[in-house]
Amino acid sequence: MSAGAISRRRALALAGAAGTRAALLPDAGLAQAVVGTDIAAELPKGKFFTAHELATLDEVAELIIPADTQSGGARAARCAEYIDARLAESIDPLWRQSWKDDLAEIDEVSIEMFGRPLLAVLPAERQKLMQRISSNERNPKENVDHSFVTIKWWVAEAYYTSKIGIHDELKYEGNSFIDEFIGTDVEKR
Amino acid sequence: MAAHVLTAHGLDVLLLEAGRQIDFEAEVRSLEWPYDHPRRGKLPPDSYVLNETDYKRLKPPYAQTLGRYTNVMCWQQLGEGPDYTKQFFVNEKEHPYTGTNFSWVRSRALGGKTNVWGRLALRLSDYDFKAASRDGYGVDWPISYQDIAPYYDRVDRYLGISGVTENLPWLPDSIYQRPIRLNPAEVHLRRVLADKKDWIVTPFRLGVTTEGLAHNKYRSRCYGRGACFRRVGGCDIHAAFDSPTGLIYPAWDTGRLSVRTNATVHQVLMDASSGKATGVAFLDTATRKSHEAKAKVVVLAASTLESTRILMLSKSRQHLNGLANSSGHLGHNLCEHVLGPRVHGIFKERMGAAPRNDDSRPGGFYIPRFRNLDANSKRADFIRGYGLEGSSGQEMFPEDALKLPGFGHGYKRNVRDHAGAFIYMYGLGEVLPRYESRVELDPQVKDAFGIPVLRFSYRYGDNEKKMCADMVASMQEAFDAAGFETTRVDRDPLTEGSSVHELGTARMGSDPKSSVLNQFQQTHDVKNLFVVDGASFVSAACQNPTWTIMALCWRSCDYLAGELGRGNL
Repeated sequence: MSAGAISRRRALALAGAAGTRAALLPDAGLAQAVVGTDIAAELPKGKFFTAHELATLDEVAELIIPADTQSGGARAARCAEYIDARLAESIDPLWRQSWKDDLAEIDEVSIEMFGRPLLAVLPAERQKLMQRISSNERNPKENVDHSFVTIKWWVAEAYYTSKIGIHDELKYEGNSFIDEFIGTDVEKR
Repeated sequence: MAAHVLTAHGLDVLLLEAGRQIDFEAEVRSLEWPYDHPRRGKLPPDSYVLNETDYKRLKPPYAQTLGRYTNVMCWQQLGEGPDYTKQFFVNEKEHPYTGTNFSWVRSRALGGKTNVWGRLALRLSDYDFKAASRDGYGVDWPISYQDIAPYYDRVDRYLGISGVTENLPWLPDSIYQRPIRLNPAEVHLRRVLADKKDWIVTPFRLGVTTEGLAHNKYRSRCYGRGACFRRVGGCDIHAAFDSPTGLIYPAWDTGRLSVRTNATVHQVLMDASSGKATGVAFLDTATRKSHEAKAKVVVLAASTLESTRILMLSKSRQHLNGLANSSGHLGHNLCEHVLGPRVHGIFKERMGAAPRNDDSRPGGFYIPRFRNLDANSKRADFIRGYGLEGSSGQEMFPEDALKLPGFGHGYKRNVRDHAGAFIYMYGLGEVLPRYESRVELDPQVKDAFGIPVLRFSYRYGDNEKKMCADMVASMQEAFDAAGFETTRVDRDPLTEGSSVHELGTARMGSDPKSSVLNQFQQTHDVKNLFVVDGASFVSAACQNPTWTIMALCWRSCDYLAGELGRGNL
């Protein structure tokens, strides 16, 4: 991405607080309060991501794996925080930059579709945006297709290695001492 | 194994280990949950683990283009936990090699790769030892099953093995402790394949003690904690066999074993007048000082290619082409197992079912070879055979999470529903030994300690490629017969070496003109020099080799002790 593009994303961050939600903000009221302010200064920054990027990733992650009655989603499992920490310590500059580009791609598609970045669009619009960026998941062609594949892979990896993913969601029972193997006895087939 | 057998014979043994001793209690974290690790088991940022793409895209030495990393590690088969096993494997930056692409997984630690092996413990049969007589390719082994069967029995009893008796002449049974059990999809598959195809689905024959070993105070029985494939090896209760607790510590307790770690042997010392080995030269990798150790008999067990490398490094005016190489076969006839074809699927009866503890076992299922056993199973397009390995049910990480499409509630529910329905299978086939498949010393490149490295000249041949195509067809047939929905098919072999079963290069044989070792793994050229690892294999068969390496070594060391006692060495 060019320097102009980065500047553009900063502009998006400044403009795009309406609808910004939550785990990275204390409450929705604060999200509303920061409309028109420098959101990067108000939202918690990541160790690697800017506040806007981290909030965007957190939202995309929750859209990929949402909370439901069985378990918390990617937000509760702090998937964005985990990815941010991995990127913060990485010594691979290309990999680090690719993540910023991927998040910017999603905002650009959101602007193309709705005139606003992801964090500023309504929930129903976010669903439409996700449908758009995931539509070529099996055969990614455009940049945003690849962005979705990368982000989803990392969110899934982070979620299903988290306490919530392993225990609450999948109710995995292994990795503990048992007196007897539990399974189906081959002799009883 | 050599240390165990020789000390049991009352001999004094010095064991030189190139790596260090692993403190299992401090360093191996078998039960740690991924979320308790800052990188979920991944390596720190200055470290890099090579993957299949790297092995295909790059050329050896693989670390040469990865300059930003201080530690480049070999492929460890599982990507989920290299930080848990990094202590077992070499840094490719310190230990390069050259030549054709090869995934050479090396461990420098007391016990070596037995600390991290896959645990599938299978016997060879005369279908393997006499394969050349059956199909006309290559040469027979200088032993038959009858010669080694008593030693397989000893290994079974001393180290412990679990499995189910199946009475297959081409895959002899062991003396089993309690077997692990099959999960529902596997029981279904066993029934279907027995009815429709006469193929056997049996629980993994595992080098794991499921009932404990009264004679070994260092090893616990298996408690079915599971997640064994999450990290390669690292069984901190040592239910899975590893050399330190299974063999070396008990040998230590005899008072006749001395162990020196960080000792990289690089030369067998010879007495020119007698033609006998007098000991070895080694480098202390901590101090970088050179030392010599004297001995009546030298036994190499440095792993297949490292033992061959030591023999090549021991060249002298009397042995210009390397020690014990009057045949010209040292370094040749490299063979292994081809790995790569793989099928994933879904057992629909388990879709959306309640979670079960499917993972409470150290292995999955095995389908023994069914090709080229008789006239009915003979293939026109390839010789020899392959086995199929697999597993099913819920594991700690739901692999389908990375494959299922979509997002949102539908995706999440789909992953949940698939978690216990997952089944996969992959093939492991015999790679033919070929004289042109070889390693040699690279004339230019040296390792971090100034020792010349190996250069590979090795590629899969037409037989392996056709075998791989048949593996895919067979696995799809099995899935179709069982009614499994196929979700993924991998057709291509992985990079050469990926099975981590490199074998041959100092093969046994009756004829000193075409082999390096005799049937007791004694070099034809130097009678007090033995090579008791996978280098001695004449052919790879399709069975995982660990149990055969152990049994051969036991047999050879019995012979060694006898010959030494008779003054013949």
